[in-house]
Amino acid sequence: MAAASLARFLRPDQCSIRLVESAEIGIVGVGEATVPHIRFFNQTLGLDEADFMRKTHATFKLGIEFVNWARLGDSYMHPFGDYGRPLRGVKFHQLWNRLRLVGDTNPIDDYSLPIEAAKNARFAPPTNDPQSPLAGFGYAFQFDATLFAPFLRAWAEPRGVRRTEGRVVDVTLRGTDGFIESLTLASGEKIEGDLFIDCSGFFGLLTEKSLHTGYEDWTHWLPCDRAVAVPCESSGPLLPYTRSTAHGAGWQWRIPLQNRTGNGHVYSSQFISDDEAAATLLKNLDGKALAEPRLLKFVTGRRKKTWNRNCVAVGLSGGFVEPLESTSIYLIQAAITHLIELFPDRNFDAVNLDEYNRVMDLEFERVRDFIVLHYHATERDDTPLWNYVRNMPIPDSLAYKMELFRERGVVVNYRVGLFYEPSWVAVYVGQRILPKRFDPLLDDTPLDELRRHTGALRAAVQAGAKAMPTQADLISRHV
Amino acid sequence: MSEAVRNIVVVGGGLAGWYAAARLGHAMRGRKITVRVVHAAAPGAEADPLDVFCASTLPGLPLAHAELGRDERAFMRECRATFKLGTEYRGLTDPARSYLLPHGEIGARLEAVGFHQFITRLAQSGRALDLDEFSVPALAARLGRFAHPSQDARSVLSTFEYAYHLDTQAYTRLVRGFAQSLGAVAVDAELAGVELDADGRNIAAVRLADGQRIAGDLFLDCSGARAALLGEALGVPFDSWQSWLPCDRAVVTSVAAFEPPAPFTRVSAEPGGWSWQAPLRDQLVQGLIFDGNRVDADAALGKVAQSRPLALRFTNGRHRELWRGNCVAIGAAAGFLEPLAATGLELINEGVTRLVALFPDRGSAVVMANEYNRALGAMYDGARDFVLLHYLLSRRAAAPWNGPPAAALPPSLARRVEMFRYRGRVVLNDDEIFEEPDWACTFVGLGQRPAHYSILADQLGDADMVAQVAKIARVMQAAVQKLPPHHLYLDRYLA
Repeated sequence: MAAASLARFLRPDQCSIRLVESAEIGIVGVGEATVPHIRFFNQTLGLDEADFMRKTHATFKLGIEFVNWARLGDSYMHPFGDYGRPLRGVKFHQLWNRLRLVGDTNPIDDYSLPIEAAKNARFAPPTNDPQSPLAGFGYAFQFDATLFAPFLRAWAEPRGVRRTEGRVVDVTLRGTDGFIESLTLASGEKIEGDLFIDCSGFFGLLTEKSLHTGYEDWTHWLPCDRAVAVPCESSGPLLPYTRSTAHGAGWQWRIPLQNRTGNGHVYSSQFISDDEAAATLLKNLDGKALAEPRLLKFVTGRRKKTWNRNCVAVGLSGGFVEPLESTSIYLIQAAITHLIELFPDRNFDAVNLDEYNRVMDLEFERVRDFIVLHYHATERDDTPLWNYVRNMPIPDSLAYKMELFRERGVVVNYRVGLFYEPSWVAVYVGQRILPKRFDPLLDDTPLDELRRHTGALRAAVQAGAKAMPTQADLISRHV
Repeated sequence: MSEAVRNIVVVGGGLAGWYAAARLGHAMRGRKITVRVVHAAAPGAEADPLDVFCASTLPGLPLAHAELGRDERAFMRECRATFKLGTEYRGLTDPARSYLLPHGEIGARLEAVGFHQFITRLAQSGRALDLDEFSVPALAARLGRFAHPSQDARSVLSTFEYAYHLDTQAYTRLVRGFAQSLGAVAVDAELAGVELDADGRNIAAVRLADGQRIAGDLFLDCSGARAALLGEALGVPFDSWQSWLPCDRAVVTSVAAFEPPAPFTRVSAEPGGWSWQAPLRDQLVQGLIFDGNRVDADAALGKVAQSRPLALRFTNGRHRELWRGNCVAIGAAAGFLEPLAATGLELINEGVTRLVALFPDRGSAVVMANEYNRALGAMYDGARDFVLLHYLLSRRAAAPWNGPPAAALPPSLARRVEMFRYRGRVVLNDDEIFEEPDWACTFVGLGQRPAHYSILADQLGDADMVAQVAKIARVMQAAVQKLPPHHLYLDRYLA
């Protein structure tokens, strides 16, 4: 992704771009779920959606279902879209909350077209007309990351990216200032460069092993440190959403692709052995496993400086906030976008690096808070993991946000960062963080009026979803 | 609900007080609430400087009016209002130099990067262009032309917003009438005292000179700079910005206009301060804002001459908290910023908007106050940075236009300046009144050319870039030529 973006945005006479990769080192990812920003990335490169979907076995994604998170037996969805519509300037979730507090039981999911469509395995792209019932939502993709990389390679190489197959065996630093001067490959080839982008994954070959940048460990907030992944045969309707099911010591993802389903169990090794974790995964597949389970180890957290000297860490080398909200690819995109906006010259002035790190820190921390919310806001007390996360101290920035929502349904908005108001509402409500009070603007609004308004919205959601084709139909016709 | 806030007491019947009463009344229509507005001003008291300076506004106001469902024509007639496309700044760096800060976009988005990056690239090859040459509202303003923005997003005439110049006394009457039509009650008495509750964090009641005692659930302190409730009674400290922004006095007057009204505000550097002109339909509001230690007030009064000039005193700064307990300060009771960037009514407007969004009941006030103080405090500080920037980058011989103030800059502003100088990047916080085009245009207008430009601006070849930039200027110039003169448009629109 980094090489393709740089090739797209930099003139070939300004920069030469080389990419070093080794077939001996695998790609993490067995089915990758994304957020709607991926479409912007694809559009920027001018990728054809149908071609991309065909070549990466992609499916559409309208959101994520969370099962067993706040309580065993619970299920909610975080959709890519708004809930309902406001009434006289009062936000929809406040209307919903007003009725909830007098005992109405319609879940907030009933007011989301992408949720209703997703539950019925239906999909249609949103329209541009804001008045249409088929507007107000977005979509992303679920695809095979091991196929996306060659797809991007095929795009990037004709546009000047020079790829070298090889394993880096040595990194030479400049004596004067410790900047990276060159890489030495197993073949003996030396590759020099001005700027190095470390996409080596968790390992942090350049940023950590050579530059010793340091890592801020978030395990105390996000204790999962391993994942075991396995694909399985597809079964049932082709669902346009990712499912995340909480287990005793972690959670399991289910990512439907066109041809198979990606599965993985993310867990904390403090609370479960690798063998037990793999067994739990295999027991909870909805089709026949297609490979041996693969084990991945990680430490949640963030590189202390994702840009250090002349090395920018993009992807897992920069930080890892576990894939619960499909943020990995978004954070790659953010790193690349900010890098291009702040593209350096050879002086690598501190003012520029500081600005990049300031913005990337915000990106990481705001994603982190959102993920921590899923764990901390639970009532589960059936296993040590849930007891730990329920009681752990959380970041002040998250505690502040939660208090405002719990009090009166207020969502704190910000300029830099991924998740906006509807996403926070979805997860607060789904995790049973429910406002104690209602918006005082609704004090004297007759409940009948609110119910008429919400009833019409529910009906519109039902009708809108019914008008959509099934995702399986749509894909077989257009992809 | 027993904890509902039903009883709102607004202390201060100036522009801020009545504006807040009107907006709250509108947001709460259908609710059983009472809004009482206490006229706190003693007879013969000085006018609230903030009210006076609200004559020049920012584009949040037309939006607020639309939300209130107000008829623009009726409002403009009653307030003798004119349209405002921006502000002209004269002589801040050089006596002969001026630039126009427009309410709108700069240039067009080429190659996914801010247009000003191309202007930096051109400047580095020896063609120093101003950003206001690539702005429809700036070009139109200089030609004295105006029409409402086009609704067609493809049209170059859709790339701007507008604000108003208005008669603040007439506007106060107008919002007062609107507030009263929504049920607000005027209490015509002077404030005599404030009663706190037992723990001293909330206001229980205000006592009036005529012996009345008015209890309330929520108190809006719109008492002007004295901040009778938030400052005097609750003891929230005021943080002065005077070491950065030394102006503390003003004289303002209205004179008959001899020329058709310009669709922009004029700001001109003067020794010891600056002069201000906001054109109404048939009058010109003009003033001198100055540092009382450098300019003799009598001399200043002489300069603006004529009809009963107002002499005003103020201190730039804000209260450390803008909402404490059950008391929210709006207007000068919250903070004061000299009108260099026309922030007066916009900050009032933002304050009321946030108050409505975070409207408390008696149990939730503390949590809501924290968020209000965070967000609105950031807006005040961002606006302060923006105003201070003009002094910081000034280059005249006479104070206060002789460059950086002696006091160390607020770190937030230092970072903004550093990043713009370095590569034309505008650093924005989560809550801001001024956005990227405002900052970029001001930096460039004040003579700052970034050392580097975005590599994205190198996407186009030299000839291609020059052609595209020239084309944008041509399209904009052709478009504004077709606009009617501002005064004719006003005559027709308000006929």
